Amino acid sequence: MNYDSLRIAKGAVVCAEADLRGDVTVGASTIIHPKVRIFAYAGPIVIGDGCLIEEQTVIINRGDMSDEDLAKFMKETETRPPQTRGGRNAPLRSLQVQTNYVCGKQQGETLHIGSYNVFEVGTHVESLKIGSNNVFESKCKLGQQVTVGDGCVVSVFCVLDKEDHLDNMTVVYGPGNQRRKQQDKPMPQTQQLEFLAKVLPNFHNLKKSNVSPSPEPIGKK
Amino acid sequence: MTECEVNYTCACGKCMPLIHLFFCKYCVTLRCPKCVSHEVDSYYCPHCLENIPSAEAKSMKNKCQSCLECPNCTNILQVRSAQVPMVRREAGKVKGFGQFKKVYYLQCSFCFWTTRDVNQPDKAASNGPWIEPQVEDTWMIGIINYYRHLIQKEKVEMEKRKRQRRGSFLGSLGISDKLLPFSKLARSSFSMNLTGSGQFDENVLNNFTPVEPKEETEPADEKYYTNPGEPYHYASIASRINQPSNEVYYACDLKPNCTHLMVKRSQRCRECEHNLSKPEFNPSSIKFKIHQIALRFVPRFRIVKMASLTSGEFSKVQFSLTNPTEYNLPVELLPLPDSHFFYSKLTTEIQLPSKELVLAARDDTAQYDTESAIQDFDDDPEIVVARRMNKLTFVINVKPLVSSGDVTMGFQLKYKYKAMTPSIRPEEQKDPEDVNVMPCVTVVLGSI
Ligand SMILES: [Zn+2]
Ligand SMILES: [Zn+2]
Ligand SMILES: [Zn+2]
Ligand SMILES: [Zn+2]
Ligand SMILES: [Zn+2]
Repeated sequence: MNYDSLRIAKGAVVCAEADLRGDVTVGASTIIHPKVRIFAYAGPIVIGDGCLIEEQTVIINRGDMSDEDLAKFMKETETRPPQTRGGRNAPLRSLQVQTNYVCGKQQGETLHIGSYNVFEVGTHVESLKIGSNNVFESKCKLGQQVTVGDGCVVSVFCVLDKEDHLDNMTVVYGPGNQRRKQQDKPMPQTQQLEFLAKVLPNFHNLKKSNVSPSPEPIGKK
Repeated sequence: MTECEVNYTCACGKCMPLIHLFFCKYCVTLRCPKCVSHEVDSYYCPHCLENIPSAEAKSMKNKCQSCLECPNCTNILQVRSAQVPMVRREAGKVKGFGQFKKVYYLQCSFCFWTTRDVNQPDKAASNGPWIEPQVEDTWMIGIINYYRHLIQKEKVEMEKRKRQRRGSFLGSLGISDKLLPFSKLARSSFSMNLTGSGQFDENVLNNFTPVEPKEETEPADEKYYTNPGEPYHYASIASRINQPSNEVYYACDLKPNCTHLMVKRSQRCRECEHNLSKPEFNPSSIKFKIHQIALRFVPRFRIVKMASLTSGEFSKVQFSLTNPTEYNLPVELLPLPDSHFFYSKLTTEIQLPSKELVLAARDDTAQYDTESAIQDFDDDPEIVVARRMNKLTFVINVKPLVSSGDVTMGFQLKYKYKAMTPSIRPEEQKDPEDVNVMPCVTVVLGSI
């Protein structure tokens, strides 16, 4: 079994300083910033096309990992030793902190993330099913029991940790997680994606893409 | 577990934390917010910080017309632009799309509510108009009219009564005016405006019919019991309360709200009528022209380190006193007078320092001085724990007398304040004279 099968589609920009472990698939023209952690611990993670994943976001297929273990795992992977053997040819593995929680061992349920989602700085996602065109604002948190439809917005610092389903076009906002429905789905961030795809490679080492875009868009079941 | 708290006693007997109190230099006493009269200085919009004259504020119903709030979450709405194709029509039929044109709508950046959500048409200009001028509802006009006549009638009756006992009760009108929370000038203009012409019509007063309360309300529609709810279709109670005149039921009927104005207040001592606090006029300024808050005049007493309290045993609790004045301040701690209302609630026996504690002067530059002269205060090491700039930490021995419940203590501070006696003629200006200030302090040390 391949424990570290990272598949990055052509056109995706994944910074080398992002920490992707286990069976992770990244769709075309998705941007993954440095310091993002995507851990396919209990099963594979599939991310669709055109997603924007900003710094310090955590996406984890958690499985039956306990809260304590999760906190420990997060703490261990939070800081990284400085990149001593810098340069383009440094093997990716040397960037990863060794922890006891090995990703990719279990073959549990797959975590699906659709296309054109925006994960702003510091989002924490455990949710196993996320649709398309959603915006997750800074520091919001989605628990394992949450499923998200299309065109939803989870506002800054909203924590959804109970069993829940966000219908299409739901907006969650405010300290009491108030909800409302919006009429138009959030605008796709195409301009921003194009800009980042141009700019990021100038300042960061990238993980090489190894999959040509499949005829069927990745991220759809 | 009750919270620890330190309260100072106002001249009226009310106890509250020092930060809420004022200090009247002229009466040389503490004043609580209930003992000062609050006057409205100016109205301003908290968002655009524009100053609004009081007459205008009243005619705008104390709302800023240019800053609009989200009806959902009360954040300020922002103008967004969008490109939409112009539709070419011929004889009412769509004949294809022409050039793009720029349109504007409002959006809440927090909950993403937009004016498009409620089908409010987009505007061609970025400045709106976003709200239609409100048509005054006849029912409301009726009520306002009724009150206008009622006030007039009362005024005339009061005038009549005053004439009957002329000389003996000159101030009767003045008293009723004082109930209004405005400055003297505003007070008179307020009553002038409300009363209008000075005439009243007995017919209006007699023909007014108040709303009749209903014994029974209509039964709810059957569908509410059987159909699954659609909570997003209805406006939340909070949003409905935010626009009472609109009487919204469905979320799609919500309209942007105007931002409520805020006031800058000044405080005046009720006894001597001196200003205790007056903010600067400019709404964006946070400074004060007059700022006699107690924190700047009265030594601040704080709990530093609690000891574990046992009933019937003395333990050393550390407290601190901070000197806000610019001169050395000898402070005496006296037992709480038995006339104080808190006296009966005391549950401890305390050993107050027998000697005067001298607080060092406040010197804002001292912390930047590396080698400032260290003054010798001849402190008793048994009582004084530490000294840092104008703060003195000391111990009081506390013996709880109860085995359970709140542990409370109280004492009276005594220090001298250099009072300036105001004088009309400058040549008669006397030297500052020392006046004893003796505020009572009550402390709750938690519970055992
Ligand atoms: Zn008072
Ligand atoms: Zn305004
Ligand atoms: Zn404004
Ligand atoms: Zn809002
Ligand atoms: Zn006074």
